[in-house]
Amino acid sequence: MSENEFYLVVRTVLVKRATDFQKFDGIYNGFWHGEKAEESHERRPPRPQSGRLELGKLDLTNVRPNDSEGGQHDVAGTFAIYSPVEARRLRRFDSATNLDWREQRRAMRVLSRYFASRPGRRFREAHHGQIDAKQTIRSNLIHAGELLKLVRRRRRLSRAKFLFLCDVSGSMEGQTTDLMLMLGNICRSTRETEIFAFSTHLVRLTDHFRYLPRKAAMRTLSERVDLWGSGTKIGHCLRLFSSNFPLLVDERTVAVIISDGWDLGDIEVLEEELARLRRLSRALVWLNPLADEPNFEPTSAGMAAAMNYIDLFSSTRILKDIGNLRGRLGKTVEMPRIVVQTNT
Amino acid sequence: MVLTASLPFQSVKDVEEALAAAQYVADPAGCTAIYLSLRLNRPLLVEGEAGCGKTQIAKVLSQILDTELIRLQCYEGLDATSALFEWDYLKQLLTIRIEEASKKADKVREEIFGEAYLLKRPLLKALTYDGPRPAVLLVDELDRADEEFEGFLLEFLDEFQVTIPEYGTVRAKTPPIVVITSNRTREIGDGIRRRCLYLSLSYPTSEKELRIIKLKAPHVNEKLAEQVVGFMGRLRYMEDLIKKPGVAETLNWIEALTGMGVTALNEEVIRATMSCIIKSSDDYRKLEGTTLQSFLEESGDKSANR
Repeated sequence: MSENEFYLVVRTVLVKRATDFQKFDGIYNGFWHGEKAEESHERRPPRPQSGRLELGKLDLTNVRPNDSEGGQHDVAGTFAIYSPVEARRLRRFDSATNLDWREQRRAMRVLSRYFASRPGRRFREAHHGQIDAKQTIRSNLIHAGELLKLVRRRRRLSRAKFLFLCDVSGSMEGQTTDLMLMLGNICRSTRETEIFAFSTHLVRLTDHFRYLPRKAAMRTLSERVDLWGSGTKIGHCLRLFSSNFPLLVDERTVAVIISDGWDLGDIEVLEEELARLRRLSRALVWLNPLADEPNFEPTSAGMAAAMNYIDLFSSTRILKDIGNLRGRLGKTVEMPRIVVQTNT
Repeated sequence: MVLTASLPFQSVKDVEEALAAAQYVADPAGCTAIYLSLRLNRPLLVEGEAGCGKTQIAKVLSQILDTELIRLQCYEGLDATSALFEWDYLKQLLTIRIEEASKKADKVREEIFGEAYLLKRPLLKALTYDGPRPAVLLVDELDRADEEFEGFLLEFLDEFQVTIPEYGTVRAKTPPIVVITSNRTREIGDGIRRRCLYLSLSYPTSEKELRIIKLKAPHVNEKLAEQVVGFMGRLRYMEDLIKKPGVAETLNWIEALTGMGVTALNEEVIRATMSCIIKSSDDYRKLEGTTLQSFLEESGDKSANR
């Protein structure tokens, strides 16, 4: 057996994802040929001991990531606290304890049922609807096949899909870590969810969250994305989305934009793209982290323009707080504009 | 390790030769995966772009092994009744009516849940297939089915047996050869992945594509084939194309060109026959703004360098 054959056999048996091939090659070469494994994004950066001790003395809110250096910043052997990568990692520990994953998952389930619109392919028993031959015969066997009772069934509504477009610009700085944690959790616990981050341009994070375990995903997030903390051009980013990923939105998709609406871009473009997104999707939701504040009014330029196009406006809290969610869906939200059809 | 003695392959090379004889060009990774899957009796999960020959693997396998191909096309909401079995209700009802006068209820009941009243769907068909060699079961586009079905399939692949409440347990005499394909519109769960051997197919290299053309369409002008392959390579290289053309499109296109008596590509010819390779209006518009001649020259340079 030649070496190449051996390699192929090992790879076929052990690796189950095309995205893991490269990683496997690195490890394989490292093991058999002593080559240094390629830098993998899973690798844990060295953790300086002193980093955490310094935490208490520093005002974390002043630690601002530096755009251009975000990805390559070398944390080894220095005070990690001065690096944006490390600052983010430390903040993650702060917020992770406050989030109730299960509560969040339940909230998503409520949302996806609420926005469910299209009859799915599966059935449920119902009083009206088409006759379910299988169940009818089964339940009437007791009468020796005399069909005394008809069992009927209806199509079950298929759940809504979600598309999250999360603003990670400077003005969202305070919430970014928390939001990324929540979105990562949503992405892992649901199948049909797409996650994007944007500020001046757009990055797709779906695969990042889906394939990496939570800690690794958060650790490497700042390496993957180099747009933290800059300005926002919402309209421009939405346009980027619609031209690059046109197939991700369909009539089952709920498009969720998470942003405070501070927009440096062209408002006309924003309106155009919002109108387009609304037309294509099941519903357009805008979550504003500031919306919970008592004096909040949607007066920022982007927000004011957007108000005309959105179906549901709320605070980001509805993603993690199910009580809040039910209250909002019940009271302040008008019926979704697509009429729910339950007939087969 | 289960050895399937009746299979005609003793090595990866045998598989490669058999595939080539059946006009399927596979790279070493593909041959290894197919060989191992047959040898270990494990399902083969094939992922990759549309039009790269995923489904073709199962078809060719059944052809080589001279056995039946049983195909289960997945779709959203596919459930056990359409994948496994269903009772023939109409027949059951008729039997009840005809025999209610003569027989006792118990007897009728026994009769109407017999094999004659069972409608076999693909999975059950594959289990009960009776031939010298196991059937090839193709579970096509599993990513289109929902998670519930994936869970069900997992159970099926583990046991290769099915329990029908009224009838009993059906076990496979020889487990079928299973090929599962996915277009990656949705991520296949880890459970399925763990049980399968994995093969990832992507667009072929230009050498491989040329070989495919030579096999499938031997009458085609060689120069034209080279040009077409170069152009397709360049086209797939375009990042913002929504629907990248696969091998199937290449073959269609080159057949069309040959049919029209074309011997060399130029901008005019490409525009006229674009419907063979571009399948989305957005892509159409994108290409309208590009000079295709430059594509040709680029790909020509590349093949000259090679």
